[in-house]
Amino acid sequence: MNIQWLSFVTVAVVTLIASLSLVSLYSLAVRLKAIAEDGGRGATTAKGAAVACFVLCGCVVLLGIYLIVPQLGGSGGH
Amino acid sequence: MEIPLIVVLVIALALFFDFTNGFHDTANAMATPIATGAIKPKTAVTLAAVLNLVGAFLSTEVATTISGGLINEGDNGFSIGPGIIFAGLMGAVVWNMLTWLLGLPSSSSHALFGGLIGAAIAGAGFGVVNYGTVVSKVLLPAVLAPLIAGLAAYLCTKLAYAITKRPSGVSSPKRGGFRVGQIFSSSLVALSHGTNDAQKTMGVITLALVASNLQESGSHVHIWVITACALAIALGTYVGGWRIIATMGKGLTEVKPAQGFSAESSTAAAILASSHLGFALSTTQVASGSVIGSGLGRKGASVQWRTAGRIATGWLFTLPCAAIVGALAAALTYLGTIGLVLVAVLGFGVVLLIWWLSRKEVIGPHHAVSDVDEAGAAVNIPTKKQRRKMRKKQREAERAEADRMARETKKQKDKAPKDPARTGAPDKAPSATTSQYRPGAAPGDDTHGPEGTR
Repeated sequence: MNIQWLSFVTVAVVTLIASLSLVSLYSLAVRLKAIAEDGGRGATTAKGAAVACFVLCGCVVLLGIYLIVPQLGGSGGH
Repeated sequence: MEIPLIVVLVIALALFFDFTNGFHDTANAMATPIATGAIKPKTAVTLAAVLNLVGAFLSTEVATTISGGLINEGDNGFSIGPGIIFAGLMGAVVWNMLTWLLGLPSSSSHALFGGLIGAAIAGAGFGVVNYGTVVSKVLLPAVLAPLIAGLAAYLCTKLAYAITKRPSGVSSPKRGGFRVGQIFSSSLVALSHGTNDAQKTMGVITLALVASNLQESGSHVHIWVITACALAIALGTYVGGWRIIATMGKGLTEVKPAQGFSAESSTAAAILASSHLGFALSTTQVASGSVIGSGLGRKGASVQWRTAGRIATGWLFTLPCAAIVGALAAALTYLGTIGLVLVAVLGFGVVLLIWWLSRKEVIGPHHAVSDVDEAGAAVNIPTKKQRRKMRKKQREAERAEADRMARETKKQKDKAPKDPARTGAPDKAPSATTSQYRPGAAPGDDTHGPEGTR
């Protein structure tokens, strides 16, 4: 029986990396946004950083889709 | 090119299966953002349908897994005819409809595999199934993927709450941003659903085309097959959405936006990664694993093993039961054309009957909006208020106990010098209680309990 254990490890690692980076970036953005909404010193910086985090989060998603779709020239197939 | 009637029947039934799959699974992706009010129901359903459509085109790895490898073909194998595939599909459809009517948690993917395997075995004996592929590409992913997704969701929820935690009283955490985020994470789940579930139907249709020599073995999935399957699942998703809207607010498990976002991100990541490697897994099971995992990531959560066990049992039964129905249908095809007609008539009869019964029945609490929602009930998460109440109760109980003990010792102390001879009791008992009791004497002390022992 040919069980591809390596593939399972790949799925586990990819899932953990993808979801954790996505959630941490988004959480960071939410927190920075909360700081910005409080106003006071550094509110503008916090807001900018929050937007940057949201954008980065979107980039992670797009990268993930790019890697999956063979037509886009990512590591399609396997 | 003349297409035999049986192939047309297989394609029609496969597309119907695809439709029910979309119909059944819309809620998995879109119930939470609709419930939290992040997105309008109509928009959510349309979005889910479109993303399922797109997802179906993205990857065909899973379709390849099903059309090649699951069942031994070629010279030393057995060439399964479209009749067997038809029987297998019928088994899957009937079992799927039955569990839907009874409100049992099940997986349409496992129903499909079960039906096909059962029909193949009935048609050509046990040697026909490629068990290695079944184990490595269907059974193991079915167990591992929900676990992986659950672990990821657990860690993500912990992380999300840790990052957004702010000192209480000073400033609010403002976690409302996650509600908007859920629109995107749910969309990803819908997309990943298309990359995995629509593929299964494509695989079956391709299998039927290969079996009737209309397509070369091992060749790619035809574009018209992809398009038809994508449309069927999108339509099913769209129609299924209205069912959620109709049952909205009836026993939806409460999922906080931050928790939902974590769960959905994990689900989407796990399904997309698996689809890419050709693992055909049940999206419902992965999503359920994520919901349970993310629930456990919340403060003070505990698993309700009864509910979790019931869900797991439902999953276990799906594959063998669908296999039995598939095998019975395949056995009928031995009668030749009459058998096939019988399978078709009986199958459609059962489906119609179930549909008719479902119309008659009043929707009750056992008709959870989705299986994933049911999985949410497997975790008990106390609210902040409940946690506070529980702590207070515990403190009060301990204080009362301490008071009682103090009173008792005092009484005994008062009693002791008066007449130690009359009771005749050895002095040991009260003194033992006293010494045992002393260490925790301070009433209202906050360091006891599990936290204090750390």
